Amino acid sequence: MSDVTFILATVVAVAVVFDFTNGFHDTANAMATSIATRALPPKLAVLLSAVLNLAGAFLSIEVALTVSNSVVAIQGPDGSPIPSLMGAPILIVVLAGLVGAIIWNILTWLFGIPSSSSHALFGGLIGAAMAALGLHGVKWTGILRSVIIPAASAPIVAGLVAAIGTALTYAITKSVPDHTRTRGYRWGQIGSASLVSLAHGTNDAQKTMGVITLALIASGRWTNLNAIPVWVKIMCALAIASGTYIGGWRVIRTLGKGLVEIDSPQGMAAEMASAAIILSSSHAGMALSTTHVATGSVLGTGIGRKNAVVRWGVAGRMLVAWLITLPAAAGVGALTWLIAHLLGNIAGAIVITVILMVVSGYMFWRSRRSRIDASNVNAAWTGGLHVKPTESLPEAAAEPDLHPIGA
Amino acid sequence: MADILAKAGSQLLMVTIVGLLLGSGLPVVFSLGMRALTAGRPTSMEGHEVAGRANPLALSIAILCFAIVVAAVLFGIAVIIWGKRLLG
Repeated sequence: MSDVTFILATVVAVAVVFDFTNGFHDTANAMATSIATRALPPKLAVLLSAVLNLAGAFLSIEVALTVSNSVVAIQGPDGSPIPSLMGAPILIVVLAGLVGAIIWNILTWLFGIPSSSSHALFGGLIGAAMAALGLHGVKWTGILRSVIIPAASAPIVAGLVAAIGTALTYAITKSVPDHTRTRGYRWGQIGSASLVSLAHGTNDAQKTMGVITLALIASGRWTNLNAIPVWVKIMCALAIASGTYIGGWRVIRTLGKGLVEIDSPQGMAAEMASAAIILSSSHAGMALSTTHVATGSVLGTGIGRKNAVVRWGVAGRMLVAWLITLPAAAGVGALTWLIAHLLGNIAGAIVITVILMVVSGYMFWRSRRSRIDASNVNAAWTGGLHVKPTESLPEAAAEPDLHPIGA
Repeated sequence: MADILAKAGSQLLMVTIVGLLLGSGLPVVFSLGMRALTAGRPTSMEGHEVAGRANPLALSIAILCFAIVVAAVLFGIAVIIWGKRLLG
């Protein structure tokens, strides 16, 4: 096996892991509200979302070589790698970028913070490219266009749309008996959340497919700039779907219970707002982060309802995490690129992959200390993500559900 | 720089308009359906649950509202699948 083939195999494996973390980090975007209002039992919600992500991943027809090309200067205008970087140099940049993105995704999951997987990927690639090529390795106007403007506007637009939808919903249904209302809106929640899941599969799996295709082209294994190999599609679809099914319960808990105490009419307003904005923005050519949109929608639905509980402290923590996502992932990406560069291609690729495994393993081990899963995801929010052992009884058991959807 | 901001502004405007029309509008249509379905009916369980039957007119309005929401969700799926070809 040549050097390039070995590094390529590592890149593909690590990219699939990134896609998996992308899935479990983002389950919350579609399903947190439906789980919190008990429109769907937690495990059924993640299963539905996983199946729709799988379907969505196969539906993506766009070629996503533009993802990396929008922020780092390692490709030409047509998306093909710059000739001088062909082979190992571009593969190491991509590998280090992916390592940075995964580490940040797992860290934010540990803290239960919904943060954008795309920003983590952008950040990792930017850091690695900057370490490898200097300041001109980065497309600064691309960062403004693809990262800063969308990030600043997504939560505001989503919050506005969801707040208006929520306020009108409650005004119109004031006279509807509350149990009947809850049951009705649960159906609306399931439909709208499903749409968000499908759109997520289409948008996000594509990014990893693009990264892998770029790596294949850089190593001379693939030449078509306008198509993605079928096996890459299948692998990415399975990775994002299985990640979604594992369910990032910590993030689901924060978004569904922590940020706003949600009722099913709010859940439907939030997911409808998210679906409309995600679909229209990707059509307008301004890809807003699903995470930023979903979080903005949930916040908006708290603002739009009178006397709703909105925890601004939680929102503040999220904002901080969003602001440091890109630089933090960039820092890790740059550092791992340097390590790989100093050790040489093969040894470098092995060492940074081992670093990734050790760091991820440690964070996973830490997460076991305050385990959040399907059984306690909906426990009452008492100042933080952590569920005290005495309170770990799920609400479902503590208080009976008066309006199950099947009734 | 200025052209990037201008382009982003026009994209955002479109996203906001579609968001308000569909993102806020569909919950409104759904709410009108819920209202029509329950208006004027007696209640049970101490007022928590609606009882009796909706009159045919109210029922038709409710069904129309829910059908609009379902159609919009199907349209959303069509946009996901055929996006660029569908809307140019």
